[in-house]
Order: sequence, then structure tokens, then C-alpha cells
Amino acid sequence: MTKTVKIERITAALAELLVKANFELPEDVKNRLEWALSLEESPLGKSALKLLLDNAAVAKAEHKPICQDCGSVNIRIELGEQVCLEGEALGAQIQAAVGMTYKLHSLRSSMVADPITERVNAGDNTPALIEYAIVTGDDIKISVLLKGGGSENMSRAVMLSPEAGLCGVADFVLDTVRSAGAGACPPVIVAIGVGGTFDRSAALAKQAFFRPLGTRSADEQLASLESRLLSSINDLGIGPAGLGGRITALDVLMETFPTHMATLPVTVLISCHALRRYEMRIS
Amino acid sequence: MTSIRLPFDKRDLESLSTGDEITLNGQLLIMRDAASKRLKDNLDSGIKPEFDLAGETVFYAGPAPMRSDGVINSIGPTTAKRMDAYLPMLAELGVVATLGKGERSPSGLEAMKAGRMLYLVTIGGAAALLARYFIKLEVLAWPDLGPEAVYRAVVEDLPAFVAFDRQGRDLFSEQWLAWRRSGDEA
Repeated sequence: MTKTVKIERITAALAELLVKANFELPEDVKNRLEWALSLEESPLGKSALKLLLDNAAVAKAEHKPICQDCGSVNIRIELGEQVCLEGEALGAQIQAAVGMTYKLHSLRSSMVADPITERVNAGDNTPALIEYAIVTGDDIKISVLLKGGGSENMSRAVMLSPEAGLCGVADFVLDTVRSAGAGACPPVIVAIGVGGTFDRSAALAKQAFFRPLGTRSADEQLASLESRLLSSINDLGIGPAGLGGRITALDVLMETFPTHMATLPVTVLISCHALRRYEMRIS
Repeated sequence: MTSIRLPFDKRDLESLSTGDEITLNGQLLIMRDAASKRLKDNLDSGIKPEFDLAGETVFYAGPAPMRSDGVINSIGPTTAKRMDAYLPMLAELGVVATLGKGERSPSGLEAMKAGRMLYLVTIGGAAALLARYFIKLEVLAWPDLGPEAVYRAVVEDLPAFVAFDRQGRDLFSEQWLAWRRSGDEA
């Protein structure tokens, strides 16, 4: 049975998600900050974690964005095969909704038009980076991820030699977090995509950000690798805000996909503590 | 916790040391990537800055836009390392300290040592909270740069840490060494 959904419903849901993501730190992230505070031993690190928790409360209460960097807007629309859209130019309407929401709520525009030379600010934080997928089902899932520039700058990708294996992947992850230092606003969330192709590994890592913090991969081997990596990262000593301490990462989330026999693509995406992402289903 | 008045006086510049928790009171000059580049391009083509930087503390930040109700919106530090290449220029123009987030590069540390500059940090990602300590925020130059314009800010009790002092001590390398656990290979 085909279902009809008006495009305005998608843009209205999107606006709601954008506001929520900018002003309300997700519950699982807050819980994980509390967890970090219970484990942190460094006095400077504890101060930093307390400030981040206070910040989440102030952002919500005073309707000020969690971070002045309101991110690049990353949107994923999963369209069920049974859904029929009513209306025109979904992409353009999404861009208009993003621009309007950012203007209306005094959210910072960080997008610059020409990346290489002119770098003129768009003024309304468009364009959003939109990706579409056709999936089975009769509903629409909208996912929003706001990605700050400071932590995005610390993300890296590599094509490893397949024989590098588990150790190769682990070394690359640790090296990436180590060189990210304090610039990525630790405690960070580390998302790792392994397999597929060069670009697919990045998409996998991005998808991993949507898993609730504090949960492990369903795959036993991956789950164990996530735990070991988290503990190794937290041994680096970078600490909250990079001021030194036991907690450098709130979590490590990993996704894999089959790959070509000659390749081992790995992408490590880093998010600052403000992992601003939400999802919503429309049916 | 030491309360520091801005612009800095000579005594504070000398006496502060790495690791000190301080609060800042007074004026900051806000500038980041695009404004730093324009300042440099202008100087390279013989155009003098249209604002005075002598004695200033430069805060690397790009605030969220002013709200329609006039309340100062979220504002927090950006990664200071990206502005390391501009440190010799700032020193030349008389800037005595910078405020940002994160560690500086080795060349940045060298430039600060040569220019006798302090480096202060505050917490990245705590911008809604930090906004409370800003009592004035207005564009000083180059409004066309939007969030990357040059702003004049006045702060009261803004929490910060000394990350590089006149003795050349770097907070980040010291802290990371102190808290690092060996065997950090998975």
C-alpha cells in the first residue's frame, strides 16, 4: 500500500530537529558526561566536565546554542519504498527550511561558499549536506547531525594494506585521536568506519554517530575492539578540554562493511562532546 | 583563582604562570581565521590596521549572531593552532596575549616565546555558559566577514587557564605527560 506524505511535513520535522539539536544536548551524551565526571581524577579535567554539563543546562534554559559553532548541517532522508511524496523540489525546500531555521533562532552560519579562495559566508548556514536513501517500508526517517568544524578538522581517512589487520586499524585510530589533541574539544566521540570503499568508510563512520553512547556493537569482535580502543584512548592523558586527565573520549563507535579483497579503508570521524544528532520518523 | 584586569598590566604578564586558573575582566579583541588573513594581506600591501592592537588580548572566536532581544548569544573559543602563523604579526602589532582553545604548534610556541606573549585557554564547547560572562560585544571592523568579523568584547569574570607563560612553560605538553598511561597501544 502506498502512503502519501506532503513535503511540508518533512521540512517541518526537519526544523524541529534542527532546533532540538542546537539547544538540547542528547540525553545519552549527558549521561555519558556524568559517567566521565564519576571517573575523572584530574582537577582541571573535572572542572572542564562540570562546565560542559552546566553549559548543556544553560543552553536549554536560556535558548542559546550549545556551541557557537552551530555546525555544518548533515541531513539523511530515508524514504520507504511505499511512500509517495506530494509536492515539488524536496532538496530546495530542505535548504530553505535550514536557512530559515538558522536565521530565526540566531544560529551561527558557518558555511562559506567557495572553499578555496573567496570563502564568503552564506549567512544562513546553507547549503546543508543532504543524502537520500531508498529503504523498505512505508515511512520516512529524517536524521540530523550538526558537525562542528574544530572536531571535523581532526577526522582522517586511510587506505590500509589488508595485512595491517586489527593492529593497523587500532594504531590508525589511536594516532588520529592523539594528533587531534585538544583542538577537537575533548572529551570526544570517535566514530570509525571500516570497509566498503574510500568514501563508504566515511559514510559508515557518520552512521555510527547515531548509535546511543554507552552501547556496544552487536558484533562481538567489534564490541571488544571498541572497548579496547576506548580504554587505550583514555590512557592518552589528553583529558577533558585537553587539560589532562583520564577521560579523552566518551565513547568509540564502530561500523563495518564488506570490502574489496585488495583494500582496507578506514575513516575515523571525531566529534566534540556536543554530539548533536537526532532522528525522527514520519508515517 | 586570580582575577585579572584587561588590558594586561606588566606585572600580571610577568607573574602569571602556566596552570593558573584565572578570571578575566575587561576588554578583548575578537579575531579569527578570516580577519587574521585580511589583516596580514593588508599589511603585506602596505595598508595599516584600522584598529589598534597594542596591549590587546586577542580572543580567537566567532560568536553566534546577536539575538533579536539583544541578549549576547553563545560565544566560545576556536582552535588557536590555526592562527599560529599570524603570531609574529600580532606580536609586532603589540598584542600581549591570545585566548583560545587547544595546544599550539611547536612553531606557535616559538613565536610566542619570541614575542613574549601569554597564551590563555578557556573551555571549548561551553559557549552558552561562557556568554554569561560577556557584558559587551560589538563589531569593531570588517562586518562583511560575518561571524569572522573583528569584535570588541568586554568580559567580567570569564574563566580561563594560563597555557603558556613568560617562562615558556606549555600547559598541554606538561599535563599530557602527567596523565598519560604507558602501553597505550591497543
